[in-house]
Amino acid sequence: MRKQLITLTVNGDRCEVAVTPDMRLLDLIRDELELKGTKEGCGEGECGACTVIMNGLPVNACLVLAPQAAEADIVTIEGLTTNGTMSLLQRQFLDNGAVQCGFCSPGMIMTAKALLDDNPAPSEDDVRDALSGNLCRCTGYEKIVDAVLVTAALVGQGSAESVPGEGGAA
Amino acid sequence: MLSGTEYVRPSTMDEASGLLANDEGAVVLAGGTDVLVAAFAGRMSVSTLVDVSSLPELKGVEDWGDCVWIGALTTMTKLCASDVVNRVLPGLGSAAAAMGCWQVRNRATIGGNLCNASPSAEMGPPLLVYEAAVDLDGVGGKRRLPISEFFKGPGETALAKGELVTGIRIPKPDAGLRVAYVRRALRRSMDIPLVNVAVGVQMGDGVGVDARVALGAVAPVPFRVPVAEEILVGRPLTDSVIQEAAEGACCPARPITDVRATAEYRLAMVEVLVRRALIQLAEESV
Ligand SMILES: Cc1cc2nc3c(=O)[nH]c(=O)nc-3n(C[C@H](O)[C@H](O)[C@H](O)COP(=O)(O)OP(=O)(O)OC[C@H]3O[C@@H](n4cnc5c(N)ncnc54)[C@H](O)[C@@H]3O)c2cc1C
Ligand code: FES
Ligand code: FES
Repeated sequence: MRKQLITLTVNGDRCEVAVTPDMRLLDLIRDELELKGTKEGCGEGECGACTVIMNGLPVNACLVLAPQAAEADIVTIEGLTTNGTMSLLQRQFLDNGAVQCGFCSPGMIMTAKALLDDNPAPSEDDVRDALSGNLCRCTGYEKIVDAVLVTAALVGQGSAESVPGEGGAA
Repeated sequence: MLSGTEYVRPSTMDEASGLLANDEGAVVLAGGTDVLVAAFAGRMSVSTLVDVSSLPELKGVEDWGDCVWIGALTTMTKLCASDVVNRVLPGLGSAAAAMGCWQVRNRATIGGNLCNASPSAEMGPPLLVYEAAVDLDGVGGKRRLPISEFFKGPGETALAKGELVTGIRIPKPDAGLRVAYVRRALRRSMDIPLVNVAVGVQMGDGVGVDARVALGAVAPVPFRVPVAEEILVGRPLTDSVIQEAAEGACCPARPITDVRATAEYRLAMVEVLVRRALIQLAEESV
């Protein structure tokens, strides 16, 4: 099996990685770049645990082949923190009780980030629609939806400027 | 599995069709939401994945005056966001919005949906109602097929070895044709339809002048239902005509029982969904 070198941007850093045709973007992120925040749940597009933002849109990293990510701009959950400080969105997930076991949280947060980047004032329905590809077996979703809506409201009130990490890459 | 598989991303049509024609196990890779799931689950063996994402011939959504051309690589998300689709082909936009979830819609292409040829393919019924044609190109040259001749069976299409779908060509319907798309799935999102239905009706002087009814997931391929269409033409869209057409639509349906639902349930759903679509259109026209 041929190895090939690809270049891509991950969390703002250009990197060159040797990939094989059986490697998924998920494997590239977790095993080659050792960014373990992105999770693998089902491995077949059903659960959203592996969600990352690719060229501005949320995708399941288990359904993208690593070679397909050549030249792509990828943001993972690690890309939301700045010098170890959580983004407003991550903070709201914690403060609103939207994290229990936490396995779904990175994927959930990446989809929510993509939504807020695209639509800074979503309705509850917009949030539920956007997150419908992210499964959570712990929280019952209510608090997750709250966390996203509270984040949008805080950003709307202008408190976002003082919070590092928001409005960054992607 | 993909161990031993090669990956290539050709930059010209000739290169792509050559690869596909000369390698028995070569498989086209578009968004990968069907291919990669099947390959990683071991349901498909692949010698070479031919990533078509760099072929310019497969890209774009264009208004050509008398028709709309949709490149095979157009994702569901791009279809939903396209002005010309929302204006001229709203039934196609609704079907694209109903597919999977956001992550899947961001990758899933219209070409992949057609070529995967699932009996329940989201794009099947609306493209039948809009009387689309499929543009093909390959080692044998270019050709065009009506969508009704493209699907051959579950997972089977009219594609020849070494051939690609380049795009879908949809004649602009008369401004009076209104189209509704409805589906029934086990869950609101992330599930393929148990039954999907597209219905188009154009009224003139209070009676139907054009009627198109297409069903998916209740036979080996999605199909049009002339029996139901004939009931609607020349008559007003009243409750009793709607009921007659909804019942008529069930005659040619041959659904199967599987893990998602029984054949009886699917058949009952055909009637319900056709009725729902027609009621929606009747309400819009008052
Ligand atoms: C979680 C999940 C939910 C889903 N939900 C739905 C749903 O609700 N409704 C639905 O209809 N589908 C659904 N799907 C299936 C799938 O997403 C769609 O069928 C999608 O449109 C396939 O497009 P793709 O670009 O990903 O195709 P790929 O996987 O890249 O390809 C699909 C097939 O078409 C061939 N192919 C692709 N493009 C071309 C071309 N241009 N010329 C020739 N051959 C080509 C490939 O070789 C392959 O055989 C779902 C999938 C997942 C993983
Ligand atoms: S691990 Fe990718 S969607 Fe479940
Ligand atoms: S917090 Fe446990 S799966 Fe969501």
